[in-house]
Amino acid sequence: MFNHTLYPFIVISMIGGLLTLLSSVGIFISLIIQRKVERLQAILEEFIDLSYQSDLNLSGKMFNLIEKYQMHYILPANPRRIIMGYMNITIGLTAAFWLSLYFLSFEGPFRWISILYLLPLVALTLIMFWFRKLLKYVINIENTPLLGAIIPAPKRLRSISYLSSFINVSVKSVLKQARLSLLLKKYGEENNEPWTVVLKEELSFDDFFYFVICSTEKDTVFVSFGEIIFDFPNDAITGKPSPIKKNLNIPLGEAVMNVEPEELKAHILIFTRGEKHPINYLFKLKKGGKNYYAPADNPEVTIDHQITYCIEDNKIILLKNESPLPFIKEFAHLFNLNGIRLYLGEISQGKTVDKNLKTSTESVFVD
Amino acid sequence: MSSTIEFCKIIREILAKPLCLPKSGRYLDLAQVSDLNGINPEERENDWPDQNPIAEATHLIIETMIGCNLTLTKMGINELLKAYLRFINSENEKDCTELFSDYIYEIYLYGLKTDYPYTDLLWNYLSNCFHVVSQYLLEKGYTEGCRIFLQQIAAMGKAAAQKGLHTSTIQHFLHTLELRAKELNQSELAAAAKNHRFNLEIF
Repeated sequence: MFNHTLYPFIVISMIGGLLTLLSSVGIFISLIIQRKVERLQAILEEFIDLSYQSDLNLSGKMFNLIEKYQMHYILPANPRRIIMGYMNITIGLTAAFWLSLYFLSFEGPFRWISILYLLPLVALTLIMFWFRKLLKYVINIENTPLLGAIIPAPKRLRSISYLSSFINVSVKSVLKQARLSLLLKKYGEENNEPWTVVLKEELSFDDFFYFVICSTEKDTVFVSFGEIIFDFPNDAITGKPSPIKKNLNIPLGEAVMNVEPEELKAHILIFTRGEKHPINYLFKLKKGGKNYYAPADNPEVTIDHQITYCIEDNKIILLKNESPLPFIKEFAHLFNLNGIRLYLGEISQGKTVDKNLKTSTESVFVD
Repeated sequence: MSSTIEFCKIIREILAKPLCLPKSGRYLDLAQVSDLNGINPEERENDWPDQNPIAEATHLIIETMIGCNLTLTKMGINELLKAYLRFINSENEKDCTELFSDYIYEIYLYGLKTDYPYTDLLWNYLSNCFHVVSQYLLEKGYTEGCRIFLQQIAAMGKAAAQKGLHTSTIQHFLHTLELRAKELNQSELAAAAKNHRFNLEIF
């Protein structure tokens, strides 16, 4: 038989050994994570540097950088499982040993006061589980409060609002790489078929509020506004995450035109969280063929100093509006950042009523 | 330094000569023959190459690029493309397009040289010209010619994107061309345009 005075010490030293191993695993993980974070930060920095060179075409590079970032971002599932399994076993064994030490040293008879002696065990087990949670956060960076704030998720890199408010990047130069463009298309052959208005983005930057107004020389034919926010699920076939996409089309709504002029004028105002003046795009849309209007040349892009806004509680509040564009004042109370796109397809005699507004429910597509 | 009109005259004179396609004529070009058996090189020793007005014009344009005279370069390219539209017909659309687009590619490649200061401007000019030319080809029904022309443009666009030049003009026109081709029931051409547009910035 074992020596009863020595045995508890053997168990204690076993516990000591287990805890040492556990802490060294902690150090090992932190080393890996540190390297990873450094990598991610380097890519992030490269990405930010890129957005200052607005006169170059960087869409391809930006796309590649975001994909690269995504690749480094997630630790593969297998090592994560191994580490978590190891931690579970170690913590479980340690707690079991502690409990068995209690039994070994317990001398009857039972009194209620001895429950108090169990408190340190409860506290330690709780802390062990806390430690486990921390390490779990470190190896799963995704959507955890610990590293999420330092290392943004890859999909945050396509968010204009994130880039403009947390990192000092010029929205104009980032959007230049997104290459916004507007297109009016008719799907059917009939004359009274409505025109589908599509906002095209070569690179899927999102998380901003837009206001589109499309007009002929005299009348406004189409108004649309809302927040653009994407949610790209993992690829259905390969299972790969897709933080950013190319050639994206956002259906804004349908317009009805009684006369079809050769040229249309369209303004797009872009409101983002980090700025106070919107960006103004001016497109000249030329009729090509019978069924579509497309921009004739590159749009004029300016920062519109005639409008000043701020965002409170996901609502855009116009502090100053001296813009000659119509309908901004009328709809300003509906400028909410809630991911919904509203449009007005038929405008009779320049009058508008809120209840004529329709919601564009069609989802975005790649084309 | 020649004046603009003089330059225009010279290049027009050159391009007024009849077109000669690389496979025509009797001059022995080893790159164009698949099998030397049955051909007696000595017999063809006396065959001289045909005149090649396009190569001459291209050379002239590249000379203006060396002299950094952008106006003349643009005019030269303009004349070259106009000559292309003049020469193309339904019989030679494939060969003619290949010939002209190769020479335009040469000019473009020279424009990418690091010590050429007007790379951006030249590329913009080329993109604008391409738009009109390919639209004309499509409307006139030169499907094969248009397809080859688009292929060459896409190759140039890809190289341009890698150098950091803007390709939005190309993207836009590939898209409008796709829509127009669909309208004209040229689905194959529309698919090709779409494919080029999607692959423009993948490298």
